[in-house]
This record gives sequence, structure tokens and C-alpha cells, in this order.
Amino acid sequence: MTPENPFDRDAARLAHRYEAAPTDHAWAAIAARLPHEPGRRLALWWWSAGAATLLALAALTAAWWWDSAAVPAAVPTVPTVSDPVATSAPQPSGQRATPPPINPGSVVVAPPKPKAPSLSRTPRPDTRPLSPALTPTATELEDAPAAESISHPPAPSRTLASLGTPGLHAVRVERPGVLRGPGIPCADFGTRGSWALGLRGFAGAGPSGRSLDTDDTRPAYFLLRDSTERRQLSVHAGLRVEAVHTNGLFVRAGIDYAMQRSRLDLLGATRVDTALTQVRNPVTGAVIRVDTTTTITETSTVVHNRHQTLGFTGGLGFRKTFGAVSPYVVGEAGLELLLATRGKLISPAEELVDLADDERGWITERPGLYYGGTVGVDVALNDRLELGLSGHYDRRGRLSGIADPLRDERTALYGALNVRYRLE
Amino acid sequence: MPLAHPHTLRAARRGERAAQHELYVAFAPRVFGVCLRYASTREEADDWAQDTWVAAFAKLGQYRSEGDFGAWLRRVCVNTCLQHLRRGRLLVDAAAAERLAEGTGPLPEALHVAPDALARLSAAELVAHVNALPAGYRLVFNLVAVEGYSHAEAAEALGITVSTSRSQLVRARTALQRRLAGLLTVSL
Repeated sequence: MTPENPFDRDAARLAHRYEAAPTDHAWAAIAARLPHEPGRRLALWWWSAGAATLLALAALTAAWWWDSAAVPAAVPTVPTVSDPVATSAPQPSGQRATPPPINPGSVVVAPPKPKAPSLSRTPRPDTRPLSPALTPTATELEDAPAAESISHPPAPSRTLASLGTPGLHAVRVERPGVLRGPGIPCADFGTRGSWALGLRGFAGAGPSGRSLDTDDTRPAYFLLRDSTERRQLSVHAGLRVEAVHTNGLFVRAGIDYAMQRSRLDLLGATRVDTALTQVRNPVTGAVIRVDTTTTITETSTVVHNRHQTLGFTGGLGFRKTFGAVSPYVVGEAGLELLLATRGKLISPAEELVDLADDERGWITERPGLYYGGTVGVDVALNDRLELGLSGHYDRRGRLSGIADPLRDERTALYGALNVRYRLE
Repeated sequence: MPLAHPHTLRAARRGERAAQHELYVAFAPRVFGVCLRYASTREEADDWAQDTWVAAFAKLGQYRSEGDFGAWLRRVCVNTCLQHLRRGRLLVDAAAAERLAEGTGPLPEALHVAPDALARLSAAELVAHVNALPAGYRLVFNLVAVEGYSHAEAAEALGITVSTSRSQLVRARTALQRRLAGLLTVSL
């Protein structure tokens, strides 16, 4: 509501222009009281990468199962239908059964299958009427021996009884030694596979960031640094030796080089200059008012920092080949050493310190652990050489003591170009 | 008048520290200026300004982007100052205000002040003169004349009656005009 009185209106207009510089430490005190900044994009990427890895793993596993189902297993496959053998005359326990007499005129023989029987298929029963001679009576069904005691001869030609025959569907016979159900393939783990060695090199780049998920006791300079560290870029290169098993599992180990470049807008202290100007009466020369001009200057310094690290890593993954294309997922962990660092940072005393002139040791970074995941795909150019792309996400934390002023965590998301050479 | 970019406001609403700092740098002098008009000391104003920013960032989701962010922030700041005044029982003592209003006889007539009297003053000088007024006068003048509160709102905020708010404003305005007139007379 605008005041009606002209004096009030002018006073309000003038008072609204009034500004005063707060104290220098005010922002640090405010920031310390604000809730922690969410790790928004990094957290999103973190969960997305995890979900994508799980999905890829599940898809590859499903494809592996499906593929192994198409391969005839070593164990003879038997369809799980009600077996007419069980409906024949009871046999003494332990005695090998002989094929029942078959009336050629009344029994049908299943047509021969053109291909090897698939585990995922159940033979379709013949629904034509069975000869009355083979139809069991109720007494015969009750007197049928237990399923465990029945042994079966090999069945070169299957004789299928109608499932529609009254009472026959009640008979369940399990064949000894065959425990697989229809459509559920089993991998043959009894067969030993072989290992193939490969050598992989990759290089890539991507954005990286600092994880702000730390405790509440960070000093003010941490808050200032977090609020000013704008952009970060990391470049990665690595070399891996991989051993891939025929079942798709593989282990790999190698070295990583990473160079992280970050830009910091370091805000200096606010400088307040006040100037007084006297306005005098042009006639009498008397001072009629004193004008106060306050100038607030924010100084800032842009600093580019560069960290180079060398990591030693190992990982476990899964890789599946579909023709010339081989997608894979792998989880890795390793130890990271600082090779070199250059740039400036804010010291605990809120001074700008050159990283190369670190004599007090507070900037010394200790070895760090890192872990992450990779999803990629290789395309075979020939029987030796493969070219591929990969996406990496890793999280790095320092192996630091409690008093380490630079305890922090960084995350990196990057894509890389891969070259893989098969050694055998 | 500083402006808040919508992108900055959205980022600050998400809790991004850099955006919050950007808003702070742009509006902190104005917020601190408001606090200085209500607080007794500079240290007190510093504390209240910090509380204002914490409250503003917490309530930033309630701010509608189409409005003037500076005005919204000033409202948050004034409310924070009033809360502190209530907590410290530094609001206008209603009984004392009534006694003061009754004891000083009829309301003084408005002085005839040159139309450009305020134009010769800087904002800092005006605030210094307002702060030199008695506490009751100062609060009512700040709320009604400067912030644009109605007398009913000011009376509710300060815990006084509407008539007391009106009389306090007239006396505050007169006292301020006298100070300005005396200053100009002495200066000339």
C-alpha cells in the first residue's frame, strides 16, 4: 500500500534505497546454517548408472539362459507327459519293465521329430481314441506301483496316450534322474570352459563434480570453495588385461590415468568505500548537507586447477558375444595416487595458496580409493581386433585421516573409445 | 534495484549454493539496510539479517516468480525483525504508548516542510534521523509510512490499537519533520 501523505511517500522512496554492507563473515555464517546442497545431478547419474548396470546385467543373463536353452543338453531329454507305460500292468518292484504289447491297429505312434527335441517344448499329445485294450481300469490305476519304483526302457519311439482318456490324467510318473521341467533350461556347469586373454586400451573425457554429501562440521572455507567451484572436466585413459571365460564372466586389471581440471571463482572480501561530499550554499558558503556515497566492490579471482592421478584397478564383469557385437558390464575398484597438482586453493586460514608451493603439508593428498561401473560394447573388426565405446561412472574418496582438511569425494562420468586386442 | 534472474531463483530453490550466494550478493546490502532500520545495534541487525536469509531460502518455494523478489524479500525481512522484536519484548508498550499519546495533548499540526526537503537528504541520513526517533514512533513510521502496512496491520503486528498507531504515525512524522526543518535551518 502506498502512503497517502506526500512526506511519507518521499520518505518511503528514500528509505527503500537505503543499503548497508553486511559483515564479511555473514555469508559463511548463513551458508553454515542452510541445509546441505543436494547432489542433484550427480545423485541422479549415480542411481541411473546403477539401474542401467543392473538392467544390462539382467538382460545379458536372460540372453545367456535363453541361448543355452537352445543347445541340446547331455542328459537325454524326455517329454513330461503321462506315460502309457505307467498305465500298463503293474510290475514287480525292482524288475525292469518290458514294453507293453501294442496293438498296431489301435495305438498311434508319435510322428518323428525333424530336429532335436527342445527343452522348451512339450510334445503335443495325440488325442485320438486309444484302444480299449490299453485303457486302464480303475482297479489297475489303484494298483499302479509307486513312481519311484518304475524304471523305464529307452524310448526310441514314443507311444503317447491320450490325455483325454478318463482317469489317465491322474497318473503322474516321474522318470528317475530327469528333474527338469518344461521350458526351464539348465546350463551345463559340469563342462569346463576356457579362458581367453585380451588387452584393452581406452581414453575418454567427461564432466566430474565434487560430492557435497559430507558432514556438518566443515569449516567456512569449504563452503566458500563449494559455492565457487563451477566447472570441472576430467580426462581419463586406461590399460587393462582381461581374461574372459567362455561362460561370459571376465576379470580384468590395469592402470588408470586421470587428469581433472576444475575452474574456481574465488570470491575475495567485500570492499566498502565511503566518500563524503559537502554541498554548500552558493551564496553564504555554508554547508547545507553532506552526501554519503558508499561503493561496494566484490573482487573475484578465477583459478584453473589441475590434478593428475594414477590408479591401479581390478574388476569383475560379464561379457556376451552376439555375432560381432559384444556388450559388457563391469564393476571396478582401485587405489589412486596423486601424480601432480597445479593451481590454487583456499587454505583453512582462507588464504589463496598455490598448490605448487605447499610447504605446510595441509594440501598433500593421500592415496584415494575409487570404485565405479562401466557399460560398454565392442565390435569385432576381425578375429583379433575390436573397437568399442564405453560409459564409465566412478566415485573417488581420499584415504584420509580425521584432520585432513581436503577430505572430499569426487565423482566422474565419462565416455571412452576402446580398442581391444585378443591375445589368443 | 537489483534483479533476480528466474534461472537463479530456480537454482536457489533447488538448494544450489552458488545460486543462493548470487542472490545474497545482490540483495544483502538492502536486507541489511532494512534490519538496521528496526534493530537497535549493528550487531543485532547482523543477526537478524542472517535469520532473514535463512528464512528466505527456506521459504523460497512459496515465492511466486512473477512478483518482485526484492519486495518479497523485504517482507520476509520485516517479518523476521518483528519476530525478534516480539521475542525481546521490544515492541511498543501499548500502555506506555497510550499514555504518551494522551499525555502530550492534541496531535501537533503538520509542519510545512519544503517539498524538496527529503530530496536534499541521502537515504543514510534519513534512516539516521528515523532511528533517532523514540522506539514507538520509529516502528510505526517504518511499518506504515515506509513499508506500506495499513494501520490495522501495524497495530496487530505491534500489539497496539489502531488509534494508537495513527497517533504514533502523526507524531513520528511531525518529529521527523521538525528534525529536518531544524537541521536545514541550522545549516542555512
